[in-house]
Amino acid sequence: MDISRIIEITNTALEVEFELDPKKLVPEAHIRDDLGLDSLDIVDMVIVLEKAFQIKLTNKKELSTLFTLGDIYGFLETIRDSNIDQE
Amino acid sequence: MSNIVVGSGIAGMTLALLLAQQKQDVTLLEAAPSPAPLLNSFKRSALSFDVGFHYAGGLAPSGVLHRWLNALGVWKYIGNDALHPVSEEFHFATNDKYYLPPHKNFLISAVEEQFHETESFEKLLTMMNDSLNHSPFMNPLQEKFTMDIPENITSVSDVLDSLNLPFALKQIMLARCLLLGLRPSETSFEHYSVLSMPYCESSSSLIGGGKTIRDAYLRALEDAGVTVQCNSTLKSLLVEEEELQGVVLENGKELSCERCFFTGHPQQLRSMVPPKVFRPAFFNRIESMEETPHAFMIFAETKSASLQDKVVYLLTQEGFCADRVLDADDPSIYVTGAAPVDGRYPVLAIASIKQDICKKSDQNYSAWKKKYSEKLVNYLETRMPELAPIRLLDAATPSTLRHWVHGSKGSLYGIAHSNENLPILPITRLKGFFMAGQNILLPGLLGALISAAVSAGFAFGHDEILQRFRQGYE
Repeated sequence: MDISRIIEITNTALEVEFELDPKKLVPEAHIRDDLGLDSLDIVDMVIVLEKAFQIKLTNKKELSTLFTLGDIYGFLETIRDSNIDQE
Repeated sequence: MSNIVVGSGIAGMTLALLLAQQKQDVTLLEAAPSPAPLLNSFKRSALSFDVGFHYAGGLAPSGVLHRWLNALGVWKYIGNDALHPVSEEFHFATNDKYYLPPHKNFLISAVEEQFHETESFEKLLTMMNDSLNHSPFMNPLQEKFTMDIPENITSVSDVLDSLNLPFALKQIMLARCLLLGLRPSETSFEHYSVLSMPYCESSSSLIGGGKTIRDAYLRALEDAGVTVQCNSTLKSLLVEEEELQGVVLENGKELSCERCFFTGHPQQLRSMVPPKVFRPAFFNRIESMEETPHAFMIFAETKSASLQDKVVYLLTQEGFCADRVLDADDPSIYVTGAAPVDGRYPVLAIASIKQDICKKSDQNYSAWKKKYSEKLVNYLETRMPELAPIRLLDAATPSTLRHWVHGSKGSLYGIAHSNENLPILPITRLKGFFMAGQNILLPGLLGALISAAVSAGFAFGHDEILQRFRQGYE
């Protein structure tokens, strides 16, 4: 999956599930400060992304190192790659 | 500060007491006509049957439940004289029978006598103790509170597979997953330890059953100046500028409050909260969570043998099978009794059934209920011939539970806290709105009680809430 598809899926999921303004969904956007997603939302976000990408994220410790939307795209890209490698 | 607690079950009553200890003004709301309907009992043919409470672990002095009920000011109204020791029996379909004694002092010798091996069992007990000792709500000496989600959650199957327990003993310990309504592979070992270790300490019923607990709670609530407002169903939350203002009841009455503690099923929330307060992702996650199994119960009598001092788990040929529902040829059954009347002994048996298999509104509901009741009676007479003949008095379906207990789903323990799911937190995006109860943390008396304490801790600070539990208050 290329990065543009990852961005598209992520943005659509966040827009619908968190009622976010699509204009705000840019790679530089800070998850907490710009998008207003707090630590409680993050739990829900993990589940939303798991569902959107059909992957398991709950035991990934990298989750705590993600601060911007760009970080999320990059993280999902590595996850997708490693999943494909396993297959 | 005014607080509203929604639901007067164990979680709600515990919350009300903990809030009162914090010198808070508390209103406790209950949808049913009387408080704590799950702790109620009813009579059939002069025999008394308990709805939700049959026996518990750690109720005897030095047990964790005992300590909590002391800290809440509830135990003094129950009293040690009401304790009644209960042995747990495990009957395999191969006709092998084993038991676990009602007190830890006899546990190791009972294991030795029946299984001729105690090393792996003692290792399991140590692992369970280590696991639950992390929790300040179980261990009064633990000063740290963490809600960290561990990277790797060990399941009960993982642990029990790694120990060299004798086959039957392993099945018996796996059967304790029934306390959570989960399969061993989806049960976190920590949750398992929290709920099942107290049973290794002591297992007891109470003279008077669930009503004894309910009445003791009500007296403690009275001491604390809290009254239960029954027939008060929550309709919606009043929210202004993202802040909780109060609640609206079904009868239209508005009550203002600064905090609200909700102990109902969180899947009820969508219709109660104004738009935009919670994210769709929150509702979608909660609504996608599976329920614990649904139960079918029979209430019967026998003149042949007493079940008063024991509970019996009827296991299958292969041992413990969580999925063996009543439709199967060899369902897994839980059997218990209560106080006899004139030489007649009550028999209560519970089997799990497939979700919402037949609702009260269905045309063939009565026929279905009759068929399943008869099947369960016949099966009991085959597996426990010492009880035959068994006379059926009544039965309960998930519909019955929904109606009498005001549980929204009618499942045994609400949401299944499988290790696949991320936990639901007691705090929410709405400031002042907290959740508690078996749907949020863990089921059973202890699970609901601890859930209330965790929730109150989020509102007032965990050290404040844990103070009396740590001191071991009388």
